[in-house]
Amino acid sequence: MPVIALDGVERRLVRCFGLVFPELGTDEIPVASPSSVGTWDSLASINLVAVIEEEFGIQVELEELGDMMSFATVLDLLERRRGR
Amino acid sequence: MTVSEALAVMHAARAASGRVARYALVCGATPVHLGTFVAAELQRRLADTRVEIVNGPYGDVLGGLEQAARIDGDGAVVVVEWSDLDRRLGLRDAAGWRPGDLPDVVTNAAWACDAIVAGVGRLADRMPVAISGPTLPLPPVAFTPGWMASTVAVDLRRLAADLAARHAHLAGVRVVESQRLDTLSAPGTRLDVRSWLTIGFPYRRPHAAILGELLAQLLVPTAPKKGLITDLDDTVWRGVLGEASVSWDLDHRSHAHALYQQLLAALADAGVLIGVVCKADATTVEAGLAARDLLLPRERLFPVEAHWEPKSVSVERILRAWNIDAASVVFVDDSPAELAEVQSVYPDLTALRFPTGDDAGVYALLEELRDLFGKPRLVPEDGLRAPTTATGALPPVASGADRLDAFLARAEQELTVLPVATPGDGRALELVNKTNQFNLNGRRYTDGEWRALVERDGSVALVLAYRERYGPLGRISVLAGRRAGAHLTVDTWVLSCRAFSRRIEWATLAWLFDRWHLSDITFAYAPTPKNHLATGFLQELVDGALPAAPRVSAAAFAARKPALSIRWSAAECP
Repeated sequence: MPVIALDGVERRLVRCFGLVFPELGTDEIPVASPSSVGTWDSLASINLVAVIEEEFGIQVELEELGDMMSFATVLDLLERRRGR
Repeated sequence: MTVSEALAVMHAARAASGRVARYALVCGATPVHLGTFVAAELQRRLADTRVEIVNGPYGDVLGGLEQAARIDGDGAVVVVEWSDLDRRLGLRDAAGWRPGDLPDVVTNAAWACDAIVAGVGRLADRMPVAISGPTLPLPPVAFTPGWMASTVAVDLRRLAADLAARHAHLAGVRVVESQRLDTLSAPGTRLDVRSWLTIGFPYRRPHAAILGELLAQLLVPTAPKKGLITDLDDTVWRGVLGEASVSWDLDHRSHAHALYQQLLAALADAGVLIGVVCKADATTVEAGLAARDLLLPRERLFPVEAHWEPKSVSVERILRAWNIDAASVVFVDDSPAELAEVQSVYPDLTALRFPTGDDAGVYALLEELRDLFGKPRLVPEDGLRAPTTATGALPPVASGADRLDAFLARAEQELTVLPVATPGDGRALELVNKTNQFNLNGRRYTDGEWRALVERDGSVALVLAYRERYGPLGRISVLAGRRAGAHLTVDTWVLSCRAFSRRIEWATLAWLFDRWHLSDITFAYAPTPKNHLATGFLQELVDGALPAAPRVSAAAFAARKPALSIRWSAAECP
């Protein structure tokens, strides 16, 4: 499994969220979750996974999808990947 | 294109102030990334327009086709996979791969093909359709090993080929070329089993991106180039005229030049202007072009510039004779220095090197030329273009009024007015979208926009066909607008560069004023970097500076109108 080596993970993740949820301001993204973002539906989740895979050069595993339910949990997932 | 890039394209277009272009996407799978890629590729091609995708129901291509035909759309993208022909050919179903099931799979697929063709035909009556046939591998349904063709696989592929052929023959339907798709997206890399099973999306993202690009290209194609200027030595033939013998055959290992000649001849027959530049004396060049076994007929070459001046000078003369801009022209030469010299003067021109001695490189060049000059259909005017210009019957360029009067008096001019027919007649829209110099405002239209313009209340939409004693030029002008009583507003007006200097623009307005007893005509004029001929004509109609929407009264027009000797064919006047 690829290890995320570059710094600025949070900044890059904000950019990913900005692509999928362009209506969000940069201050809203760190607290984004399906309950706070009306457009966060299944299609948005699929797009988010694709954008994150492209940005970080990783493949999100099936069992990790459940960890991608908010900006914070996605960031935590990426940080864990980086630490491997 | 990646999903990130596609989303960025769509977001950048959210602020576009233009109209919304709505496209239906019909596919049996969950469209997700395919929809994103199709939308982004369409959006990239439609500046100032905001693209919206309307998805059909999941797992129901036939229902999607019916639903798409009910929307007010600019076009439709239809993606058919094996699982749309029979659900047992998909991975999200488990209805049986037993040997006894297989004949029924083929029978069911044949029925589905018939139903899809019927549905696509109905959809194409409403809007242009871009379609792809099955792109994924067949699942391991057959009892044969994978390296052995099974009867079920062969029968299914025959059905798919037949499906593509039937679609390709339908008016308004364009089919993705599987050979190009195979080149860009290797068949073995397309299927994403995990994605199909988990979210219902069967494609790997790179494949979806390429498929989306090709489908969008079918709906919003790039304008084809109009003219090709070619060098002769080590390009049309191997060798240098006057220095050694030249050849284009297998014996001399120069057959790649024969293929190039063959392609040029085909392009000329399809309406592409072919000119020649060669640094040699004219006598030598004419002797070379007179070779009996040359595959490129001499009469298809016009003009032929043979002298020792820089090639950019030759190109300038040819562009002037053709009356088209450099951006519509491709220049082919074996010399990088000559290409650079011409390109330095004409940066908008497409300059391509002929890779003499590299057969594979020549073949790649032939493919590139096919793409640059490719058009969805041929119209009768394509066959007229080359011989008409080659007769040398071009009117004098930038001549005085007296010389023009003398030329036109002998020309036996005749114009015929035809109504614009939609759908089916692509010539009118093609003219509007490719004409630059005499173009009222440079406005380009999608098929859907054009249909809406022509079919609205009060619409006036005319195509003009022209002939003279030197031969027919075919349909050379399109005018569309709205008539209210004695007033006409012209929204779009183009006149082909082939028909300039014949006072056809004056005759057109004279006919409009007379035919409908108009009191005045308003022009939805807008200057563009290229429409100087339209600007110049309108300037002749008004006093002082050209206003934003020039309005010309019947009296003012009559006072300025020059002598006209054009006869009108009344038989088909609307």
